[in-house]
Amino acid sequence: MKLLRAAIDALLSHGHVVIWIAAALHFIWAPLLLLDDKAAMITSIHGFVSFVEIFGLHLVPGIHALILVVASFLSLEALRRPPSIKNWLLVVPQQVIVMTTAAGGWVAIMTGHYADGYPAPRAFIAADQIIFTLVGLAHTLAVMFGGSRRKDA
Amino acid sequence: MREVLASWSIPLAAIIIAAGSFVVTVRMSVTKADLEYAVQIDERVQELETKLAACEAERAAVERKNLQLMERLFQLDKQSRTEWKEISHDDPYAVFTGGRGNLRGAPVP
Repeated sequence: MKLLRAAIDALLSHGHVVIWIAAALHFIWAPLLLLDDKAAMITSIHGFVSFVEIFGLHLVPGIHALILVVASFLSLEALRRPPSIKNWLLVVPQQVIVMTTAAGGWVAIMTGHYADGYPAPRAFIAADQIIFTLVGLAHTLAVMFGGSRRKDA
Repeated sequence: MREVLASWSIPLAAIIIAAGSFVVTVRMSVTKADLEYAVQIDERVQELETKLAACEAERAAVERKNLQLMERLFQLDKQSRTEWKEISHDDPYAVFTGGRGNLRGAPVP
């Protein structure tokens, strides 16, 4: 129990690391999406792409890469600035993205196949995709408490 | 500002945003993924059926060729037996002497 508490405390104290990692990942994904549209069929990215489709923006060329870059930039900018409501809002786009990527993994687990149609046992997909859920949860915790912790530090 | 950050408004908003985007994406993607998967399976089935038809045609051609070769082999075997009978003059050692005599060098009629 102490170990769990220490782990959660460490996560909350260093939440900015998760935000930084997510931003770096999105910065890497963006040019890959521009290089080849098929990168959008990666299960985690496909969750984000599906979310963008809700708003009908998926028809705009390069919109996914643009959103990823802008969200990453905003979140890194939020880390640089002092905690405030306005600055907290800068992390929200990336928060949404990490949750949509986590959702992409869970959709694959539920349907029993990856986004590109490759069927696999659910346990296999879960073992492969659970990292995005963990990143999503850690990012959520960082967004929830990161600001106040940073200010306290 | 400290009071705002210390309150639960930001954590609650973060949870709502996270859960909302997660649930919306799952709901959107599950139906879409099933439809896409069904289309992909149909395309895959058609592709495999085309390949199967091509393989069946190739197998029939190979079987025909095999039958022709077997018939040719049978003819050649029959021909070689006849020719050997003429060369060897029923000498069992002729295989070593080329039909020119037996192993002791004695001419064979």
